[in-house]
Amino acid sequence: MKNLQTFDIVIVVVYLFLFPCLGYWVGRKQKTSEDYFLGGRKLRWWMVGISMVVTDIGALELVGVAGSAYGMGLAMANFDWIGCVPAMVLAAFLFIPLYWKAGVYTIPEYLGRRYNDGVRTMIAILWGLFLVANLGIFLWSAATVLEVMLGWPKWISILITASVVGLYTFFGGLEAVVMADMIQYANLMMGSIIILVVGLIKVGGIDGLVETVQAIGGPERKDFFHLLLPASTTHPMSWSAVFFGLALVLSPAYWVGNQAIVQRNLGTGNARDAKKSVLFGAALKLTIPILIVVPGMVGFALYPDLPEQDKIYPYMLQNMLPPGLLGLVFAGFLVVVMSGADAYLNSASTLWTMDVYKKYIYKEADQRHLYKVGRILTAAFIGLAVLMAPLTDKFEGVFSAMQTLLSLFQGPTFAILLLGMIWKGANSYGAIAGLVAGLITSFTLFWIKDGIFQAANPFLFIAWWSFVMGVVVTVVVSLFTPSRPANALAALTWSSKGS
Amino acid sequence: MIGILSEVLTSIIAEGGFVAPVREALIGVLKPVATWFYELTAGVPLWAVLLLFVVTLLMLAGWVISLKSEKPDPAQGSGGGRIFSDLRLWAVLILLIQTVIYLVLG
Repeated sequence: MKNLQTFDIVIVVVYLFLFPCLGYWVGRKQKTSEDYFLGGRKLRWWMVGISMVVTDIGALELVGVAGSAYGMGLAMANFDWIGCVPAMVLAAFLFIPLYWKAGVYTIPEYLGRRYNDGVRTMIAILWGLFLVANLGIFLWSAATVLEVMLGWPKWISILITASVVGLYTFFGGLEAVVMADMIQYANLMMGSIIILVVGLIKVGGIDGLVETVQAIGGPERKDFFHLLLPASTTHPMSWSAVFFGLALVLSPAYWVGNQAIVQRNLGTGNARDAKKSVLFGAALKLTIPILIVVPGMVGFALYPDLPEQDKIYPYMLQNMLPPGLLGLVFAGFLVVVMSGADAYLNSASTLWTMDVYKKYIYKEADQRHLYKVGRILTAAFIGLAVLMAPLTDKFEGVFSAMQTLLSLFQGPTFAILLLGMIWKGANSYGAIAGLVAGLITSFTLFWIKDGIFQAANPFLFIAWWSFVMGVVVTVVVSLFTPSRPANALAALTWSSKGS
Repeated sequence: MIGILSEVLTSIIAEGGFVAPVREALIGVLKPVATWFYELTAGVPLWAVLLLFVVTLLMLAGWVISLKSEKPDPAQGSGGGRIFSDLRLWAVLILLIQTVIYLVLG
């Protein structure tokens, strides 16, 4: 394996130094919580679209999806295609207009208006914990990359990554995060296109790729080039898991219910720009599997004996790029890996500031005060994430760790969000009961998963069944308890959005 | 007292205690449901699965088209009259590309 040359390392260090400077420069005029958390609501739609996609790619795609494509093949493209595009279109026309009408900062804030403060608090705590836990996973992913590329111990890499991400998010808030994402996207495109082209040339084109995998793949890779896998497969990406768990639950839950994603939409100037940003993101998503999944597949054909599949993408970077360019692309790759962390850090800070601190600790806090609290929480959460990062090692990989976390509570939270938007009859009694029932279902299924599911990692089925339980219980309890008066729901549901 | 309680709890957890029977009972109840769902989906041929994916995407495109026009207000600036300023058409175009991808690779 090639090591980074001195010139490459200099580029990486300069790059990492420039990001906190960017954060400081962007943040120097910010004074209010709206500036810090929503970029002053002046972000351009195309920037937000790119930023959403880069946040979604982050560590999960580059390390996790590319790694899973190495083991599983084309089926991983479902994550970006059926697992993103329809949900993003739905988000643009159904959910985003309602968030805009409500004029909220956070999703729990919307749910608080739609149901009551109890629902708002439960969701805020759930999401707050999830975002902080995920920060740890992102830091671990970045450390995995640095370990491969530079041979640094993981704890040093975690501290460096946390410092860079923490500083530019601390100084610049959402606007700095979005600006950083622009640079990260350009680097991602450059690195991925080079890897894809060089990799395909090395393996002998598409035909060579197919022949090589057929020759060395063995029976466990017989479906390597199939987008749709039978329900009987032991892979987590069977068609039934993809359709029910991913396309119907996890994907819409992510694109319309994930604070880190929705917060960017709320940073645009108006509802039309918010819609445009999501549609632009959906268009970009069509290209992502070509840039990430296919290189992962090529990686298997070229390096079939890699001990850890999660390391395939950085490994390919290291072995395919010339000095100089390697440093530039690697630096870009590293900050793309960080991009999920910056978004989650900013959103965790927003959520705890607006839904916990302002709601329960200091109700009269003005925007300047909240801006300062947001910064303090940003620093606190990055410290907490550093401590939590090593827990990721308990899972099979970063992809598995993040999806398992998501599957545990996204089904029930999406159930009450969806019903709250499309059905006036859903009330707070139903929402709380549905949320609790859904969570009990997901944790129970996770506990006994080995005894009832065929798939090795059935996180998509856990999401699906906990969603179903959440919907059923919310509907049943709502039908037998008093509904809120129609005038209290003005502009909060699909049928009353014109009110 | 706390020491005894802690010891009892530790031994229950270590030996499975009442936790293991509860787990087994839950598996016993839910396994038939999981098996039923598995057999139901395992019996669906992949051509029908492809059809399901394609129809879902086309239905979503149809719903988008059924919404009211998403053109900008001409009073607010230029572009209101151009057909591609209607966001619905972009959404349908994206969904159609997605459909073609599944038809080719599915």
